[in-house]
Amino acid sequence: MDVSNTYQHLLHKQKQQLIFNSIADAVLIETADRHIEFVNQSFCSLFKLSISPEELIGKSSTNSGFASSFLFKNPSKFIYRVEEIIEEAQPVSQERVVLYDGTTYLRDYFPLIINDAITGHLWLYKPFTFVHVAKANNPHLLTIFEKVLETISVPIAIFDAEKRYLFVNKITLPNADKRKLLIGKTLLEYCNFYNLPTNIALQEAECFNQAVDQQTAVRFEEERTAKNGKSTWWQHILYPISTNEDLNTYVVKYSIDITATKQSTQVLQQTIEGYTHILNSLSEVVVVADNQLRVDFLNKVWEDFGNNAEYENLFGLIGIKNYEFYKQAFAVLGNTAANAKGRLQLAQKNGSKKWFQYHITDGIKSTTNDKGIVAILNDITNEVHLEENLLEVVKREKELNDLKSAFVNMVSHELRTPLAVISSGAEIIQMMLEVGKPASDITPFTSQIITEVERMTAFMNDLLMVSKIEAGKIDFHAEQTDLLSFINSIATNAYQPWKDGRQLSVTTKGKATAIAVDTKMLRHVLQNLIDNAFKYSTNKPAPILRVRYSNTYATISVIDNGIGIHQEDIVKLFASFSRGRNVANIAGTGMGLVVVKYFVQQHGGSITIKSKLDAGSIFSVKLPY
Amino acid sequence: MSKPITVLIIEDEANLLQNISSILGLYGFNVLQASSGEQGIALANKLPNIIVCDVMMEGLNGFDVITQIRANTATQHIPFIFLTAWADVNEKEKGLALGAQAYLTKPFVAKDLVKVINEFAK
Repeated sequence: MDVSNTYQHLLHKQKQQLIFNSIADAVLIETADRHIEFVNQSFCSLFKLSISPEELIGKSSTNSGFASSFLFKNPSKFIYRVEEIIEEAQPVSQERVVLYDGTTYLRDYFPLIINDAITGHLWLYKPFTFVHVAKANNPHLLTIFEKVLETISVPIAIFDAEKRYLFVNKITLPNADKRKLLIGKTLLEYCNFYNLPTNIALQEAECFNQAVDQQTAVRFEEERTAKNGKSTWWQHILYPISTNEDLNTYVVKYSIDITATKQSTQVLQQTIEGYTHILNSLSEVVVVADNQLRVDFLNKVWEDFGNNAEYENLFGLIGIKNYEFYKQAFAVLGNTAANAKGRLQLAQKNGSKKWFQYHITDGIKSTTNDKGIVAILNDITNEVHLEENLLEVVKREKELNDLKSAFVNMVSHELRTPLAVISSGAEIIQMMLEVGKPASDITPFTSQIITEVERMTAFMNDLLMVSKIEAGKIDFHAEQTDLLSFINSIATNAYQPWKDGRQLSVTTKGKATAIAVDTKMLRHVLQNLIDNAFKYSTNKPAPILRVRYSNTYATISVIDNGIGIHQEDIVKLFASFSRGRNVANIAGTGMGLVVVKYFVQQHGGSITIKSKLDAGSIFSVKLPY
Repeated sequence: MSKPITVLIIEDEANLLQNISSILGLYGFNVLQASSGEQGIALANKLPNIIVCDVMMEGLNGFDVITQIRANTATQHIPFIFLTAWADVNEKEKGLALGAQAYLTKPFVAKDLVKVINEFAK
């Protein structure tokens, strides 16, 4: 019987303990003489007691109270008030006690009275919160909260830790029945129930987990398309809430209509894209850099030019050698110059070099409001090359001019000398006639005049030929020719016989081979050489023309027994007209051989001279087949 | 009758040397003929009353000749006339700067040459 009673008692105690331990409020039950009969875990936590509730049972709570009184803002007042309550033996409700750290608790006290006798004391300590206070004063508190939440004109919902809706306001879901149905469900369950798309529900669930795990607000965006096709953008914020009193976690979700922001962002984005497109379609390189010349923007043109764009700052981009650019860029940044211009040369990826003209102006970095620069680079490689070419042309023009005036002087000199002979000869004839000299005295001077006129004419012809060559009016037209019959026709025409009765003899050696020649040019060459051979071998055996055929070329040699040419003069004879500023030094007939040499070269051939003074000369023209 | 004026003619163009000599002979001058600069300098030692000299010649040219004539105390006083086909102004200035009394260009008129010789001959 006793055993049974004891068992029943223990069972009762355990039940009691279980119930009290599940209460968040701190509970203390004392015997009439203030020994601890029961205490729950919340009480131990509140009063920072380091032993378990079971160990406290039977202990004097006066001692424990003293030991814990330091926790209170005014320990002596706390102890005094506890004793006062015990003495008064009247219930106490909602009495504030303040801990040293400022947190406030509400104290309830109930004397445990059986048969008018105090058998114990019940103490309750609860956190002083709006909910506790309001709940105590107004059992309809939650309804009030709901109404408060309804007054806020943004969608609001509250979830438990399992993502189940605890509350959702009218703005979120205007239909009351649906609202009712939503409560207690997750959004995913709700969507499945109504066969709605679940993508947002899944995204929300992910953000929900993140918010709870990291104990931080998590945002996500949703685009909603209404039946009329109009889009709205919403930003949802999931805010985790947990308190010491309530170990459960709740999540509050509120949503903001960001359609306007989104639209203007889109417009801005489109504008930026538009401007970027424009900047990329320019022919100039546009680069925007901050005050440390870090590149904020670089249009595509840069890469189109074959430049390397993998640099963060202008120093890498443009190369440190172009220090003048940086000097000017910093001048613009430092306000010592409003803008700056210059040229720079850049090595391309492929190793080639390009010239750019740059223009630097100041710019503002929008994000930080710091000063920056805008540099525009223009590819002027072609212009620079043109300039260089132009300079080269000017230089060559000057050389040509110098050559021309030297040429004019030479021509003037070459004409004035025979003219002087002619005019002085004429004056002599006149004087002789005046004094009645016989015709035999006069004849040498008349023939002298005729010779000089011939000399001038020949010179003029040479001059004309040179000018034609210079003007490019002489084209090379080769045709297959039988060399021997061509030479024979020239010979019979003018040199068999020559003016003085001598006969040019023509000899051949080797197997005759057809050869492509420009007959006009070759005729000029041969006539010039044969004329000279006769002219400079007066009263000597007649010149010989020898044709020799070899494997790859034919050689035509004009051999005379004349006066010969001084070794030093042979070089001068070949001094090319266009080569020499010293053209004035090519005395007399040098012009003729210049033309001869040019014509031979047109055939891909060459001309050589062998000569011995007072023995004769051999002019050999070598023509390839 | 005063002693006739002796003119040294230096000219490498044979026909012209002959013609100038004939003309000056017909005008009653004594003529010394030189067909090169080197020969002219040698004949200058005969102290002609005046020298008429071409500019462009093989070997020593006219400017070389006057430089040597002027450098020689025996000949430096002899009046010197250039007669040249070299009509460039710069060349004329150069010739006069080297100490020539006159710079005549070819072709020339006999009377002008005679007039200049008579003017400068000593």
